Amino acid sequence: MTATIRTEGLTKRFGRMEALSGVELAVPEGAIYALVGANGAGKTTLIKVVMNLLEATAGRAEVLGMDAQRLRGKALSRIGYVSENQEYPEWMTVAAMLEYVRPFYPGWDRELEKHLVRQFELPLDRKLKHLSRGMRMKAAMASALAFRPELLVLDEPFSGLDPLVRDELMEGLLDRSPETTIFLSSHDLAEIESVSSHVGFLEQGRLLFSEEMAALAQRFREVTVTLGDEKPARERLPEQWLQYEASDSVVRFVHSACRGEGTAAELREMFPSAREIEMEPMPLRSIFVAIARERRAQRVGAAAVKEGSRA
Amino acid sequence: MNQVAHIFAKDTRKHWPEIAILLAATTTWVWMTPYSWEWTMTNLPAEGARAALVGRLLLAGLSALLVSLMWWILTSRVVQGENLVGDTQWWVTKPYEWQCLVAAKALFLAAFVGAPMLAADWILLAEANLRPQAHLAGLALRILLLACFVVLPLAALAAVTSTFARMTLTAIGTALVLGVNAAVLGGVERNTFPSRLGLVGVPVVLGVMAGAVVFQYARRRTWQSRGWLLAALALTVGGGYLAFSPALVALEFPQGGVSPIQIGLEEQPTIAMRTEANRVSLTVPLTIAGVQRGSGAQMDAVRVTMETAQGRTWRSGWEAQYGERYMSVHVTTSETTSSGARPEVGPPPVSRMAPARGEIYLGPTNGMVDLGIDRAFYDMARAEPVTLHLEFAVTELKAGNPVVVPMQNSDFAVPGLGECSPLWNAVTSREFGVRCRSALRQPELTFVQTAWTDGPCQANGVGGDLSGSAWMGDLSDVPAEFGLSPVSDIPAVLSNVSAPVGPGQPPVPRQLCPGTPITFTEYRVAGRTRVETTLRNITLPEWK
Repeated sequence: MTATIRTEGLTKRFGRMEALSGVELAVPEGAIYALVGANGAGKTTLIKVVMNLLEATAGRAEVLGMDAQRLRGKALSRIGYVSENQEYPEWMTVAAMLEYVRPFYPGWDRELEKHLVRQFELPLDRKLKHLSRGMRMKAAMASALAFRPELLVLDEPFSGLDPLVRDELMEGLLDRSPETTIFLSSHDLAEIESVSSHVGFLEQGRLLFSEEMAALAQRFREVTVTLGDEKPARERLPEQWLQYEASDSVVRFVHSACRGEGTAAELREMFPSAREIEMEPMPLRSIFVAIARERRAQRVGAAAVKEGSRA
Repeated sequence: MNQVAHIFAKDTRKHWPEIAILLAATTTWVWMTPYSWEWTMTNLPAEGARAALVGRLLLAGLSALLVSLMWWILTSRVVQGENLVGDTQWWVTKPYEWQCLVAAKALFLAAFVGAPMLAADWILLAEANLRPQAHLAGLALRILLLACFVVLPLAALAAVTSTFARMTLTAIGTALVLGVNAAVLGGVERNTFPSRLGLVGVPVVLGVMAGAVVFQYARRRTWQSRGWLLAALALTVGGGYLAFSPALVALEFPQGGVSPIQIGLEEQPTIAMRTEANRVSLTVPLTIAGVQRGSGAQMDAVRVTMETAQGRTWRSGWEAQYGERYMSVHVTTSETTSSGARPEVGPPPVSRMAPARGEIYLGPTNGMVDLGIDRAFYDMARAEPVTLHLEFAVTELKAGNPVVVPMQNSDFAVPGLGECSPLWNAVTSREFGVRCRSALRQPELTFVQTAWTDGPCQANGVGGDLSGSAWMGDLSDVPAEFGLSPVSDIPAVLSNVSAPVGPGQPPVPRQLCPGTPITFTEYRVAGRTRVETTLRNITLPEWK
């Protein structure tokens, strides 16, 4: 499948701080790709490099088949961009803002504009500076959707919005898919779970994984093994087992590479006297919590080893 | 879609309050400025009209200040309307063509800074009877100067800063750097004479500045653009030092020319001395000869080499002499007045008064030069006779055809120069010179000469036989100078303005009678050269 956005070894440093570290990413055409991660993980930096708002320190990014560093002028008429941190022309009314941006886009659809204004219930005669945050985001979204962009980039679009506004915006987004590839970032996993087709997880500037949402949901299982006579394993656990917890009778962990029946068979081999093995699907939030905790535990362990060797 | 027109229309809608204030201030300034031409410190109107005139002049000054302030604000606001610093601006992710954005901003500044200024220039020149249609090249140059020295630096600062406050702070910082540099140049080097280095240096600095603006619009790499602007600042600062380097002075004032001008020293000159912090200033009398009829000499700078009997030497840098001029003036029968009448034949009368320092010297004469000597060397050398070797950077001047016009009580036109009028002293109720208004720049260097009358004016209008003269203008030959007003209003206070009566008594003011011919002789640069002279066995003065 053609990638609308592709990055290769993308690195961005601010002084000594590495905000992005060798990110390899591909956003397929027509996807709704959610880039998730904690605050400060590098999501906004990645989006800004992709949008040519920041210059990469190393590596490259390609957007709509074009080097991201050449993304300016006419090329931007194919891309819509909305960010929670943008400085809008607050002196303009909503109508004036739409009227102003309209001539910049050859593909501007007046009917769609009217539809979006109705759908988002935009007050055309109000200045942007007098709009609530949610209403301002809706105005920005309308201006970014009305020209039917090939790519829509959204940086934390739902952050701090009330559920009703969030749902309205999501509805607006889903209406545009798959005509438009959507690349959005969020630190709120629940809000993107229902709309995303693909997901990438960024942690401390590193992309831990990037895959289809369905495959991810398939891959992660919360495993509960009710033990029989045997003692639970304490050492040399498989790498795919995250958040391993064991008591005398029960073992719990998150399996990050589940292959359905194949994995079930392997587990039965590993726990031959198990009375019961349950493999439950996990919500996206739980998957990321498991990954984040595992990474934190690894970091703490690595730091302890380093400290020990120094002593 | 025409992006340029679209962005321009948006900016005009957004900034109409600032535009309205700027236009109102410009209108007020144009309305009030002509009143300043009726005013000098001593040319007071009648008591009743004085308050009204003061009010108008105050309004002219305040409106001029407001015009400058609005240029600053408007340039900042329009450039930062599409802010180029940072990465959170809404417009940055819209399909703006950067060339169109630059063109739209330039069009806006041309329409609301340049065009009102051009209109103001035109109206003021017409108001001053200076025929604006005869100065189209100068008017165009003035707008270019406004663009280069006001709009471009403001736009450059606005392009690399995110807010008006930051831009203003940066401008203040830049002005401080330039001010400190000027103080260092003036205080240490004392070299301030003009150099043709500026002909190359100024366009280079402006080019770097313009390049930084274009680069910032094209790439929005703020730190790199700031680097370019810092380079422009460094060039400006460095150029000030380079301009006075011996190599450049040598280039500007070549040695070994065929100039007939001779500058010498008296055999045993009386050298005056004063001490400063780390130097000793000597005032040395000079003799000047060889200034030909219809020509003049302007001493621009001097460099001294002092050598002791033991062979120890010290050499100064080039030091400005503030354009002291020596000349020879003759009126010939080929000259005509502006009205076509022929003036009297023969050389003009020579001053009966001993010329004071800094006054005009007619014919072969003597002068003075200030020499700055390193104090430590002076202390070491003053016990024994020394050899002084002086090098003078001299600009040779060539007189044009004089224009002779009769003195009048009101405004009178001087062809090639502008509109002149008597300079009236309300305290003595006498004229003490002339003032001339010229278009777009001060006049080219002009020698003004007339004759004072000690007694009452004669009915035939013929003046007395006492010369009064003054220089006005400068040697530049560009059609316009940078400045707010397009009308240059220059007073020329003539020499010998009053007659000495006796010890302890105040001098009696003389008068310029109506009808007295005034000769305006324009001088231009004929060449530049260096003249050298050496004086041996000089005994330096002791400390006072």
